[in-house]
Amino acid sequence: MSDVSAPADASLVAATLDGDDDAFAELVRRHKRRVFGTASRFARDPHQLDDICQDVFVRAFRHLAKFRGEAPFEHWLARITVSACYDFLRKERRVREHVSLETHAFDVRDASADATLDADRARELIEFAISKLAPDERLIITLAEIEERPMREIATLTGWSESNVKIRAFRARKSLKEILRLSHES
Amino acid sequence: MNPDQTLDALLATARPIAPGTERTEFGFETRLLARLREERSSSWAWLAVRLSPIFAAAVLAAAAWCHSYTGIEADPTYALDAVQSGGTSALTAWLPEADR
Repeated sequence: MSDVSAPADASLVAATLDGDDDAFAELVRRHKRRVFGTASRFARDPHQLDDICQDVFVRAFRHLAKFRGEAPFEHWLARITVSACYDFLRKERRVREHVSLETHAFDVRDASADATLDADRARELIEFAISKLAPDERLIITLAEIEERPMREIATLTGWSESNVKIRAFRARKSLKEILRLSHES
Repeated sequence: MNPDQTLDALLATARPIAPGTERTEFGFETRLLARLREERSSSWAWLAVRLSPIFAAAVLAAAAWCHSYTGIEADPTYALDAVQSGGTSALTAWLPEADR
């Protein structure tokens, strides 16, 4: 049951713009779980996760005056979250490039046949494969395949057109299959 | 099983695993607000440093103007020199028509 006495997000935004830091803290408390949920799909390291989430809310704080209240605050914040995650992936890409396929060779032959494939092992395998993707492919695969968000929603979140999202998703799946095949061969 | 099915199977297995973020979330608001306050204060300091040459130039200009203005007013020999060199006609030439 929701607390009817709790101020609406729009009121908290207005109070924050008037200089009330506690109002912004309340906004953060309300929405941090969703931001952490999305960001944790891209960064497993707690420090990186904390950095991304701080980046999201710092951006939100700086651009709060641009929030017009036409859409819910959480939708506005979700777009900032995806943008921050995408920026993180692009930065991280350079760091990850030195990791060789050989060091992460997995056996995917039995992935389909073995019904008892451990969930952690599957996650490890798919995370490795996803980590080898280009940042935009990684973003699309995570949003579309892991979080199962509709293409239209992904288009809204990323600012790309729906057809562009579909093309990128198709290419990302193709790349992912190729990475898994190479991993299997190595 | 073809590669598409293998991929779908892997994604389906990994999908429900939501990473735990409770530890990272702990004290997040405190850290965030501290960072925002620090950035706010440092942005004021940055602005002050950036504007300091303009303030310094304005102070120097004001000081120079004051010095030149008070220099003319404070020189008692100025009127005397005018009288001695050009006589009273030199002074009356400066006066408005009605005061002569």
